[in-house]
Amino acid sequence: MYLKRSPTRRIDRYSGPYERWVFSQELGRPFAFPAISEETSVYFTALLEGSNQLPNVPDLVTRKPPLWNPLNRTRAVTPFAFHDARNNRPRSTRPPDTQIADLLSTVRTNQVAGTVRPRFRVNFPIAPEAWTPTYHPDCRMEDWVVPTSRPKAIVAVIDDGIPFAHRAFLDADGRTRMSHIWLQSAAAEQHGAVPFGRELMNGNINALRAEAGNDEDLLYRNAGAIDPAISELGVHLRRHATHGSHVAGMCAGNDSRLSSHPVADDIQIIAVQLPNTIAWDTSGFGKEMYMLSALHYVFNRARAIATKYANDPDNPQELPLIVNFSYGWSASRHDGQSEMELAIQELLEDRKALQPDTSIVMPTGNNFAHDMHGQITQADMTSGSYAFGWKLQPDDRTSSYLEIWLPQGMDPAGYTVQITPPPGHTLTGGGTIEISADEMLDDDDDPVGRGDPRRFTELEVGDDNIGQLSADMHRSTRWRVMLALIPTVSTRGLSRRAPSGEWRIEVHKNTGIALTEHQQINVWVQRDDDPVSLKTGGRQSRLVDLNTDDTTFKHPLQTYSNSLGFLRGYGSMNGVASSADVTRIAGYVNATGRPCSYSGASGLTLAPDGSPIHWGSPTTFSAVADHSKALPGTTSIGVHSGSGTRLSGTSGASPAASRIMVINAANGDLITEQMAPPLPLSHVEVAGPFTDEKHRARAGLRTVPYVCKATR
Amino acid sequence: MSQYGGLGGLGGLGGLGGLGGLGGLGGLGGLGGLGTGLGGFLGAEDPGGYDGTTTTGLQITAEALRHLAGNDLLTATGELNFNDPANLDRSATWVRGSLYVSDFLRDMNWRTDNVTKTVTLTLEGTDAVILKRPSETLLRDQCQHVIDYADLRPDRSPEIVSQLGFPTAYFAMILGLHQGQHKRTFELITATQVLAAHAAMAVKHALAVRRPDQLDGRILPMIPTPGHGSFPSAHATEAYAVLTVLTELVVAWGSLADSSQRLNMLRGLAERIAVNRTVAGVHYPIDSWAGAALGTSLGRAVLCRCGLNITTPLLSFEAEHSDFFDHDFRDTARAAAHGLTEGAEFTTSRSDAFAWLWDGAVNERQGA
Repeated sequence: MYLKRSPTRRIDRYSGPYERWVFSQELGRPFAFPAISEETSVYFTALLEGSNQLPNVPDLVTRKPPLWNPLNRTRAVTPFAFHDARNNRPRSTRPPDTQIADLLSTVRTNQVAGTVRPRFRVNFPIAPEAWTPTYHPDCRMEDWVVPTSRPKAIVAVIDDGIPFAHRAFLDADGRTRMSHIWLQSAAAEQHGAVPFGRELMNGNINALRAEAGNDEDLLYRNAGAIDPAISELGVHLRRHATHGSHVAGMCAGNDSRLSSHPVADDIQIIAVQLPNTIAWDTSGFGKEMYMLSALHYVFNRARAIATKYANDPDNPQELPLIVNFSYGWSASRHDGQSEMELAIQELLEDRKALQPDTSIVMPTGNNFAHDMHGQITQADMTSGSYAFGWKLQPDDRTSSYLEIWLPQGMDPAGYTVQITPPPGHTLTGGGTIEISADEMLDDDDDPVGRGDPRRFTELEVGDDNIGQLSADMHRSTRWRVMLALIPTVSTRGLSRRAPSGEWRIEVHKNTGIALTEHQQINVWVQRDDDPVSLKTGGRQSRLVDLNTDDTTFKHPLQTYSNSLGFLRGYGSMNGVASSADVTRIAGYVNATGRPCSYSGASGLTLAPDGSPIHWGSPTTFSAVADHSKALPGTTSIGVHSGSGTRLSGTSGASPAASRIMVINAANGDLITEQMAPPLPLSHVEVAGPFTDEKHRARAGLRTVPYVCKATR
Repeated sequence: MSQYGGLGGLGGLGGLGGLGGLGGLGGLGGLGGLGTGLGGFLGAEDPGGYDGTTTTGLQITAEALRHLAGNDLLTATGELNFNDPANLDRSATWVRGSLYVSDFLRDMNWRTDNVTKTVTLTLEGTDAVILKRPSETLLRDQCQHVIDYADLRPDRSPEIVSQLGFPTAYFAMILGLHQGQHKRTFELITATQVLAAHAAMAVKHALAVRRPDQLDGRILPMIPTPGHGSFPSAHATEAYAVLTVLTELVVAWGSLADSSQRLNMLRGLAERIAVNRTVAGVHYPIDSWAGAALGTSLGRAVLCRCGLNITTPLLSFEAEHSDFFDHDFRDTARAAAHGLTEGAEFTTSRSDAFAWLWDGAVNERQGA
C-alpha cells in the first residue's frame, strides 16, 4: 500500500501518475535512473502550464531558461527550474516526493490574491554541480566571434554526446561553425547565461581547440564535457562514437563519409547536449523540461545571431532554422495535445510567422514491428468488454508502463479496467480501477487550482507494492488509464518484483456509454530497451492479441495486408512528434527502396464502411536509415576527428532530412528541393485502399536523397 | 642403416629448445610466449629438432655419402674473434635476447624500506626510481575510477584483448615498421619490453598491492586477474620504456618528415595502453602513474646502455588520488602536483651488446 503521508506531503495531491510513481520510494523510485534513485539533489526541473507568471513565493527560488517569445504570447507550457530557498545544502536526505509536495504546498498556501493558481509538472532533478551560482538570463554574446561567412541558415542539433570540437564542423578557415552549444549537465561556471550546465560559443570552442592542440580528449576534459563524477554527463565523449556524434555529423558535418551533400560555411550550428538520462528512462516522464528548454535555447540563440546582423537590433530578421531532434518515446496521447507537443506547436507557429523556413525534424520511431500499439473499436466492445495481453519479459530490471487512452470527449463513467497477473500469481490488493476522479485528492474548495481529475491504486502482493494502476484526465481533456509495474527480477537490494509472463488487461463498459463507430480506445506500451548501452537492464514488453487465430495465407514478400487487427504498427508513431507542424521522418532501406521493417508509422483505423482511414499526424518524409538489409545503418562521424560510426534507426534518418532541408534553406530553395516523390510501391504489392493508405502512413509524402560518401 | 639407427635419438637434441623454458617466465605476463620472460625472443631463430622423417632421412643420406669424404686428417682452420660484438650477428635472436637480459640486469638492483614502505630501484648502484606503497584508503578511492572506466569496455575490447601480451603491433603501426626492414628495431623494442617487465616484477613483488577486483567486487574485470601485484602497472612500465627508446630512435633516424606528429601519437599510444588496463578492470590509475615513471627511467637507462649521452633524474612517486593522463605526466610541474617528483640527475654506462643493437636499429632508417 501507499504509505500514509500528511495531506500536504502527498505528491499525488499535486501531480500525475508518473511523478507519483517515479518519486515515491515504495513505488517506482528505487528502480528509476540514478539521478532519481540515488541522487538527492534539491534542484528540480519543472513545467509551468497555462501562464507565463511563475509563483512569487519566498521559499521557492525559480529560474526560467533562455526563452524565445518575441510575439509575447502566453505560453501553454513554460519550462523552469526551482529549488527550496530554505535549504542551503545542495543535497537532501529526504525522499523527493515529500520534498516536492512540501514545496508545491507552499505555493498553494502563499497564493497571491487575484492570480490564477499555476499548475506544475515536476521533472527530474539537476545535479548540484550543474546549478549556475550566478545566472544572467541575458546572453551578451561576449564569447561569440563573427563567422567568416554571413550565416544564411542555421541547423540545430539536440542530442546526447555531441563532439562539438570535431573537424567536421570547421569552416574553410579552420574556425568552428558551431556557433553555440549548451551542455545541460556539465558542471556550471560561476556566471552563466544558462540556468544550469555550461554554454560554449564559437569563440570558446576555437580557443579550446587552440589550447589543446590536436589532443581532443584533453579538449573535452578542459571544456568540462567529460566528468565521471556527474552521472548525467559521465565519460560519454571518451567513447569511440555516440548517438550524438552520428546525428550531429549527419546534420551538419563535412566529412568524406558525408560528401554527397556538403554543408556550406554559411550554415551555422547551434547544439544542445541533453543529460544522459534522457536516453535512460523507460517512460516519457521527466524529460520535457530539458527538451523544451533546449528548443527555446536554440530559438533564442538563433535570434541572437540574427541580431548581430540586424539594422534594428530589437527587430531582427530571423534566419531560416532547421532543428533536428532525434528523440522520442512511444506511449503518449498521439494527438498533439501533450505538454511537449503543444509547446512545440506554439514555437513553430510563432516562428513560421516571422520566418517561414522554420522546421523541427523528428523521427517516427523504431517500434513498428514491436507489438507496442493496439486499438479497441466499437466492434471489439460489443460484448461489453475487451481483453488483451501484456507480456512482460523475465529479468527486466526497469519499470514497465502501459497507457490506455480513451477518445477525447468520452465520458468514462461506469467504465472499469481490470488487471490479472500471469497464471500462478494472485494480487492481494488492487487490480481494478474506476475511470473517474477520486474526490478525496482535491480537498480544497477552489476548483481553479486543482489538478487533473485522477485516481490512484496500487497493485499489491503480500505487503509489497508491485504496481500502480491509475486513471487521470490528462490536462483535463482526455482520460488515460496507466499501469506501471516494477522490475520482474529482484534488484537494487529489494526483494519485491512483478511476475513476468502474460498479464491480462480487461476494459469493461459496465453501465457506461458505448463507444460510437467513430471512437476508438488506443493502447501503447512505453519503450523499455537500452539503445545506447547505458546498462539500464530494461527489456521490452509487448502487447498480445488474445482473440486472433490468424491462419490465413500471407504472401511472403508483401508487406501490406488487407486488414487491421488489434495489434498494429499504424499508430506506432513517436509519442512526442504529433504537433501539426513537426516534420516526421520515417526510415527506408537504400538498396531496396522499401520502408525499414521497424520504422514507425502514423495511425490508421477502419471507417464505418470498413475502409482504412488515417488518424493523427502523418509521416512527412522518408530518409535512408539502412544502407541495405545486409549492412544496416548509415555512416557518419564518431567522436574523434577522423573516426566513423554506423547508426541504424529513424534517429539516423531524421538528420539526413535536416541536412537536405537546411542546405535548401541556405540556397533560398524550397525546403523540399532535391527530394523525390514518395517511395514507389514494390512490384510485389497489390494496389488498393489498404496498400495505398498503409504505404502512405509508412513512407510519407517525399523521399530524402541518400547522404553518404560522394560517388564519382 | 643399422649402425646409426640408435642416433635417431638425436632428435632429442630438439630438447635444446627446452632453453625456451626460460620462456616459462613468460607465464608472468599471462600469455606464455608473449609474456615477460623473453617476450618475442622466446625460441626466436631456435631451429629445435627436425621431424622424425627428416631426421631419419638425413641419417640414411649420411650413411650413403659418408664414404665420399675419405679419412684424411683435418687441415688448419680459422677462429672467431674473441668477445667481438660483431659475433652477435651470428647468434640466434633468442640468444641475443638472453644476453640483453643478463647484460642489463647485472647492474640493476633494488632495496626496500619496511618503515616507509618504499622500494628503491638502483642502476649501477645509483638510486633511479623510488616508489611508495599506496595506502589502503587511497586504493579504495581509486576503485571508483576503475568502475567509471568500465563504461569504455565495449569500445576497447579488441585493443584490451590483443594487448594482453606486448602490444608491439600498435607501435609498429605508428612508425610503419616491417619485419623484413626493421629487424633490429623490433629487437630493440622487445629487449626494452622484457627488461621493463623484469624490473616491474621486482618492484611489484616488494610493494605487494592487491588488484582492484580483489578490493571491490563491483569491478568484475573482463580479462583474467594477473598473478602479480597491481602497483606499478607493468603494461605502463613497458609502454613508457618503449616510448622513451623509440622517441630517441626516431630522432636518430631523422628520416620522418612528420616525426613530431608520429611522436604525439606514440605518446597517445603509451597512455592508451596504460589506460586500457584500467578499462579492463585490472589496474588503478595510480598504477599507470608509477609504471609510466618507472618505464621512463628504464627507457633512459636502455638508451645509456646503447651509448647515448643522456642523463635522467631520480624519480620519486608518492601517489595521490589522481586519474592518469599523459598530459599531466609529461609536464614536470603538473606531475609534481600528482606526487611525482624529480631528484638528482645521473647517468649509466654503455655496453657493447646494446650499442651493437642500437646501431643496427639506427641503420634501419628509411632513405639515403
